[in-house]
Amino acid sequence: MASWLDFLTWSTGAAPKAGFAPATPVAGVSQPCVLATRPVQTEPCDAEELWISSTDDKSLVQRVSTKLPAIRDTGLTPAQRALLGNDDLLIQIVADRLRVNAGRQNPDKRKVTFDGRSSPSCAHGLHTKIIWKPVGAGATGAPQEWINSCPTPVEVLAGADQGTMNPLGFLQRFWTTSNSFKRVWRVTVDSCGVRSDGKQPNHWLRGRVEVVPNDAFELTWTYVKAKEWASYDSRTPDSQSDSTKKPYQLSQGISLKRNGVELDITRMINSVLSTVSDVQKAFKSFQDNVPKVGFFAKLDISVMEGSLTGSWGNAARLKPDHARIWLAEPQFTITAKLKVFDLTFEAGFGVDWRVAGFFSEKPTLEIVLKISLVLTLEVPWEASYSSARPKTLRSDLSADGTAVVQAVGRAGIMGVVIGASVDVSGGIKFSGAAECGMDRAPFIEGKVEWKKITVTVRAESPWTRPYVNKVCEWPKHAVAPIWEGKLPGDSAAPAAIGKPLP
Amino acid sequence: MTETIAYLQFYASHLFTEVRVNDIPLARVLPSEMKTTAIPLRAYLLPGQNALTVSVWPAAAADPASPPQWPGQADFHARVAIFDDGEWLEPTGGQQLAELLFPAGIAPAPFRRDATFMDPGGDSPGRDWAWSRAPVLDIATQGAAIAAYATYLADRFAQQDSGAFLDATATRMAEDAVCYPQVGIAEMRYGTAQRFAASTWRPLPADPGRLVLQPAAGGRLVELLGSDGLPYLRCETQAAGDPAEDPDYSEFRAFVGVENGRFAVLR
Repeated sequence: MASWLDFLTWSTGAAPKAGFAPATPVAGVSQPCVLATRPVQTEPCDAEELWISSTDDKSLVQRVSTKLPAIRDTGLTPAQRALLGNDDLLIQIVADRLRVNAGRQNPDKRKVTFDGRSSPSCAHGLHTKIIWKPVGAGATGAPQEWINSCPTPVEVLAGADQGTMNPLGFLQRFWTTSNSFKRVWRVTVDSCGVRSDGKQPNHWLRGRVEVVPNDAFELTWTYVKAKEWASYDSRTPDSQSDSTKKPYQLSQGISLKRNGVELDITRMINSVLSTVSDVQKAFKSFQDNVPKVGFFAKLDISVMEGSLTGSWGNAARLKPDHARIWLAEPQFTITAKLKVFDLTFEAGFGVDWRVAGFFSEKPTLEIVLKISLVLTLEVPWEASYSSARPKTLRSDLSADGTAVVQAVGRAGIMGVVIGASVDVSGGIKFSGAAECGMDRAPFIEGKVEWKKITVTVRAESPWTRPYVNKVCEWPKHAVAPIWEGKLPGDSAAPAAIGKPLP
Repeated sequence: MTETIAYLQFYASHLFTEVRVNDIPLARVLPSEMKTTAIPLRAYLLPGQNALTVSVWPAAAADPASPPQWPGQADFHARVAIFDDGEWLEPTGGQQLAELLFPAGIAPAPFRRDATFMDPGGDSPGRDWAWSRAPVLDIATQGAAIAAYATYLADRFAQQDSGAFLDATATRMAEDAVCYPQVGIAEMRYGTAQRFAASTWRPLPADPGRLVLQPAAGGRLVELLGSDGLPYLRCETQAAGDPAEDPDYSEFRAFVGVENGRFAVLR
């Protein structure tokens, strides 16, 4: 049976509705009015005090208490009112996480003690009533009530991973400073809300208990490098005659520890390799679209090379923020000093062109050119993010890669000037941003795109028409970005991501 | 015995640059392009000491209010080296005679770098060029006469008069034939005639207002340039245009000097 308090809470929308809903009307059956079930109370019975307390494993005693509803407390600042919402007390407790496979390790539950008082004695024997109830999104478990008896301490745990798709990347699953791990209960001391002295009755006092995980994470990302891939075609007018391919190799030094225990982050590493693979495919597409006499291509790529170090977790503050409020403090420190992308793509192709002589068998003009096009892109990310800074922390990242062309012809005793040029605006570019915040694990979102590359070769002598040819023009039409996504990303399918944390 | 040939190898990007050998401009690069070129030098070398010069102007900053600075990719590399016939003109290949590099830490202001090198000799006969014997021209007093000659050439160019150009370049062609005997003067004359045979040729008309006279070779030559920095004698579209779009584009670089008392295109 829903209580009066629950009804008011629901009907005014004054508090989270989860965990309570009015009885669904049944067709053809008249429902009794909820108000009619309550006796009209004229005898004094008023909520006088509520307190909540918890002691952590370091013997820190957190305690909040009140005798007055927050709405009538003129000493509260707007910020404190915002924290309290529709509650009169707020206490944040750091505790172990609820574990799905709890058999692996017994979670360390935290005890919460609370009590309240109403006076004088309720004429109907309904009060003092203390209610302990899970609230908020995903609340589970039945409410508990104590009427005219001392509540027993309850044990609480922070939330397990909700197993939802994480659009912000792999690390978000472990970013315990976000709200997704928080579990919330509400404690209420209930009364009839009648006073004999003419003062405004309290009716009830209530407090919110928020439990956040006590995990401490340490991330060390020292080095990830994937290189090198090369392909040689025996038709190239160079001495490169081997047709070889070198596979990518990944060397790594990534470690993510929770409470000192190493976590399996294979997926995060796979996401880096997936990025490398995406970039390789894009350059192979370029390779397939360059007219050539022979071909040589080499791609050196590093993704997220450098160091990304940091730690994060929650800790209860050593002192209350107010007699009504005792917060836990999400803390993180992330330092990034790495190259998001560092790639060099070298393409070699040839031009073989000759003009037959009119007066002799010897050609008037003979050009054999080796053209080497080198595209480079370096995207550095150097930043420090700390929870001491108030807002979501964002660093815009952008980099313009360069294209360098070199044409090497054969020396000839026919007086031909040879050359090649490329528009300096061509190449590849990166645009994106890095972000980190209370609710966001550090991640980079961006894309690598082509900027139109046109390589023109030119050969001339004073007595011939110049030979001018665009030997490479890429892309000729709109093409998909070389890479677009998030790093460290999550290449796993959403269903796989939904698996609970170990 | 393998024949050798001296080349100027020049690379530049993100700069206004001009490279000269013995004060004759052989290549210019705009900030909007990255260019690499190799130019055979036989017709530009002199006995004894020769000069290599690179002049550089910073590109205008995107934000005029910001202090001038070199673009990050600003660079040039000029080099004179001797190669064997058929050898790849690698940037570090051949026997190097002179080299100029973009200096590190230099203030973003126009500057010039010079190097000298001795004639390697032996790679061609001659070294006795009409342009090096020509009298120094005084543009202040002789500019009108040079402009009149430029107008004559522009008119002949527009008329696709290859005969006039064969006449104007006769000395240059004879010297080229000495430098590059493999080609031969008949082939050169034929090639020149072919250049003027395009059917849809759209030459820029003679316009003294856009003519710029640029001294070269210590004043012995005057380069005919348009006010846009491109050759004065050229078709309507830009140099290095797409031949697929404009197969009849042509330009004619002309260095005018005096030989036997009359103007001629000596380089």
